[in-house]
Amino acid sequence: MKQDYTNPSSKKVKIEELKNDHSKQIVSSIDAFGGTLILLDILQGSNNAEYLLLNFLPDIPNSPINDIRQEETIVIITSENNQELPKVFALRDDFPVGLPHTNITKTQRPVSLCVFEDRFEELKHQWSGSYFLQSIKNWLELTARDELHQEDQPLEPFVIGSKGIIINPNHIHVKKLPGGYYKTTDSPIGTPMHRLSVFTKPIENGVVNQRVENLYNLNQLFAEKDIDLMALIKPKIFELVDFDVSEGINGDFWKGLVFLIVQIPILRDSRTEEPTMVGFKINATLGLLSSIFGRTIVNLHSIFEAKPDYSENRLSPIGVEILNPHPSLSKTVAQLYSGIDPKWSDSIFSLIGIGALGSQFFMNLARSGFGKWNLIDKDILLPHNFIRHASTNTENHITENKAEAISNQANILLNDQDFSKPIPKTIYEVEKTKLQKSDAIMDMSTSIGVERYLANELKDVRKFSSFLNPIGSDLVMLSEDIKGHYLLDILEMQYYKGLLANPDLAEHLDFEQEGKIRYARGCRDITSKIPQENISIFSGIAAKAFKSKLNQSNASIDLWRINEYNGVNYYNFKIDNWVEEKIEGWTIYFNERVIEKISNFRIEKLPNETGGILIGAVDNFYKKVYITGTILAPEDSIERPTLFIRGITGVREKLEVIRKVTNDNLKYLGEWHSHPKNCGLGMSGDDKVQFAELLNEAKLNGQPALMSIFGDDKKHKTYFDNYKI
Amino acid sequence: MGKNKIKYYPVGNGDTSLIKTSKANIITDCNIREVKDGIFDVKKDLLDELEKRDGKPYTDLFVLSHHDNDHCLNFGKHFHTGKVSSYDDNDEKIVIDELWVNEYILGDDSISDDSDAGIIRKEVGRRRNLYKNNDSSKDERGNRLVLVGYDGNNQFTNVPQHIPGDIVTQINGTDLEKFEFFIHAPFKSDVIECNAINDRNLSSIVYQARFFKSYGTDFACRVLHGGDADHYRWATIKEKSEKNDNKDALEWDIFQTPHHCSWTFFNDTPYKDDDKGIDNSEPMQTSIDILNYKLSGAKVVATSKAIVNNSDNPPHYPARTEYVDVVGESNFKNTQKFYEDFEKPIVFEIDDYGATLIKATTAAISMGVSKPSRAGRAG
Repeated sequence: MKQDYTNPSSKKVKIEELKNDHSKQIVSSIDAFGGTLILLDILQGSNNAEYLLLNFLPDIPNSPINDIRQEETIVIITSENNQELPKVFALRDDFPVGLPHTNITKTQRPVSLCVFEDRFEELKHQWSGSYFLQSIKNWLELTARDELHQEDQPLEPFVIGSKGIIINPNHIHVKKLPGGYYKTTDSPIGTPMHRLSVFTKPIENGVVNQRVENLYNLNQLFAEKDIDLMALIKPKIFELVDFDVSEGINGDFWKGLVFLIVQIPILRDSRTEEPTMVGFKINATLGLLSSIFGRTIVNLHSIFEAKPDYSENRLSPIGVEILNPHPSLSKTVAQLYSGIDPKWSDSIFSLIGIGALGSQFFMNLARSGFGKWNLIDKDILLPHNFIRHASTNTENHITENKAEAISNQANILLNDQDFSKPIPKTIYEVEKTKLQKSDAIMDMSTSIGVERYLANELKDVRKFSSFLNPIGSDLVMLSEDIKGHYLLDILEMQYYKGLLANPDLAEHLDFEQEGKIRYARGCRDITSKIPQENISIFSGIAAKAFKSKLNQSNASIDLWRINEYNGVNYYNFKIDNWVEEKIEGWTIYFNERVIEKISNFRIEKLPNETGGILIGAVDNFYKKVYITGTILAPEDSIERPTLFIRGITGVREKLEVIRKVTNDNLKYLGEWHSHPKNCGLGMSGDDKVQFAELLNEAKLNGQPALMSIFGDDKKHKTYFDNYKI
Repeated sequence: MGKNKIKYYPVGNGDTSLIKTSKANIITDCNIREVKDGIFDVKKDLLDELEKRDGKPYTDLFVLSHHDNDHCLNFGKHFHTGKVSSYDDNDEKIVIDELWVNEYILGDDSISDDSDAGIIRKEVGRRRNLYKNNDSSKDERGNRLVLVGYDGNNQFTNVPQHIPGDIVTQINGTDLEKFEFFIHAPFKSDVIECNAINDRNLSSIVYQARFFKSYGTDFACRVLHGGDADHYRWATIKEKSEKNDNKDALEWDIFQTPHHCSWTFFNDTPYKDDDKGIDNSEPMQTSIDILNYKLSGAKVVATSKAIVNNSDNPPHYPARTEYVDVVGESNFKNTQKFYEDFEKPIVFEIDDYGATLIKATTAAISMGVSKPSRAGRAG
């Protein structure tokens, strides 16, 4: 809506004669403002516009930043059509111009106030006469304090255009787009349109409130800011001219219009300046502009020097169109619009597993220009993948490697070929040194093997592992601490322990065969029935969590669950200390809380011996045993001062629960028992007999035999035999 | 304590003002009239503004510029006197933590015991005796007393004293933080003269209240309060301040017209009496000089009844004209006129941009900060 002011007629209108609804609403609200608002007059304008002249008495401090007075005469112009906001003008002759939130008009005065940022279509549901008047009063009061433009609000553009130009700083030509828009390009078709860039000195914040229609206006506009625009443009024009003459380019070059991009640092306050840009389409050919600046081209190859002519007569006929500049999408722009902490801008992250969760997780971060990425996956995209994959390009990406497809997609989006690098291999084929150069590694492969590989093979780099549960209702994220004290394998064990401790999560790892689809003939060609919205929700959560965890140093285990109300429940798992012991090339990790539990149980039972079952997991490949829990002496156990025979009541049921809840990841490991006070931790004759039994049992189970003896001062000793498996 | 502000109540020809800072509430004078149509309920507003301690409303400081009736009307009704322990909850009186007075409150023989000035005199005597006897409770809130100016009759032995030229940064032993007073008067000569001719106005306490900006040491707003001091006192204030390099203590953003906008600030009275050949209509240059210490956007507040163009004094129309000549019509505010226009006291909110006169009424009921009127069948 143009905000140009036209004078009303001298015909006065009585309140009862008002016709426009907005006028009636405004006038009827004036009383509510007490003495702070006085209706001076109502005049008739053209096209049934009504001019309400009011004296506002805003609350202005003694020392305002902007010269807003304690009494300001304001005219509100309402239209017959009540579908647009009334216009508001400050009538004082010396009302300051160039204030933030004023409109561009053909003439500087009266100053048109931009009272609302939103359009009437948005405001009409809350619009009332008093709301409007109060907003004007607020405008005056906040402008007086220079607080209308909040500190965190973007600076206002120097001038505002109606259409725009999309700018890539590396392009030197311009092409037309639909809808009156333009775009810089490197490959002009037909008559080239030239793009010039100039830089000005910093200027104060505030829009220019005068319309710019021709080159003379534009030159004057910059002159008011003490900027000699012609002097800035001239060498750029000459550069083009010299280039043309030296290259002997054909006549089309001279016929091309010139687009001027002016980069203007705007001062937010006296100390800080922020870069802004404005674009101008100058409706003059390069040839015409060159002659204005004092070089006329003869026969395409000769230059005739003349005196520059910046007179009004010469510049006024050259129309100028203001174009709002839009930087082309880049990593920096993506970061800016996403509010990304730039400190991670050059950090290298490696993502393993570019499936449904991984690809969407990655694209969430790519869209915000977060980091630089190695994408690792050997799989290809098959038709069913596109249901939940971040790529929807079924035409071009089908059978393409997942990492290559999604890397290409992100790099094109950000105009940055270095943003991500695809590595179409399995993790085991990737050079460890490449991975170790990462600032962090995220595993989304849903593979325990990958997670264990990362935990055991890659040191000095922080690792994360995130995966969905089998039915896709829960997302888990295991995050190592920054010092690598709690590695992924320990966190995995702690996660199972946490599942057992929380009845809410007992079905977390439930696996429904009917929930699986075999998409090909191979044994492993199985995928889950999980709706895309779950992946979308969880990939968003994972991206957010990943960013926040990078800023935290501690290890964590987090679980998110979509609940029946389509909300998300959050669970955080406590991480215990683990006691590490090396025996015969194996490493035993004994959960400290389990040790504590057993020791306390022993004390309770003294002077009798007692005992129970050790629960946990074995990694035969990396030769690790994790003791995560215990089943204390069943009720049918025999506990005497010098003997303990572990019973069996309830043991089978408990082991079944452990197996089911942890999806077979935790199981029976071995036995423990206690020795009486003042006895050592050495094996007695009976103990040796039992350990031999355990060893036989272990052979059957394909795992080492394990027996722990607990004694005084909460000390214990673990006996281990791997029978050379 | 909320926003920094200063509030001038519409109390006709008289003074009642409230300064609120981040650390203290300060009342200067009281002329609290019986509430009826057209009379603002000052007490109710004060109770809304003041904090409570142990259920008792209190002001950190009460400055009695002098004890003329229009500066202490209904003091006894609205302010607690005696020990705090004797407070009667049913009275809802305001406890005064620290009380500032001039010497003449004890030197004035014309005060009757049952008048408000008499009640104050008794309270001053009570507090004074705590200091005199070095009572351990003398420094407790509710007992504290400060003499402003000269102790002409040695009646304030051991009582803390602020004298002209002092900068006061503490009350009740607590830092005021980002706020202070500069004490201008009464001078010793004022106290002696006031005792000699029994004119209470002469011993008026005059101060400059100084609000600082939230960061740094620049002033945000300076306010001159002059009680009923006449042009002779102001001439001395000007002379001493300039001589002692205290010009910044003369500068003002808000100036409360002395003596309710009377001509006494500008010259002797009567203003003019042709029959007697008296013509004091020319303002003293010293008074004009004081006004010219105004700062950008400065406001004059005439604490008086409505000022009309007649021969009344106070308020005095030619005095108003002089003020308007200095600050302009829009910066001259009269408590009564403002009350008639906006149904509220004159309130300046003070922040880093200076003083902002608050004219707008906010929707206090819907904001939950004010009770709606009673409803129901009983009424």
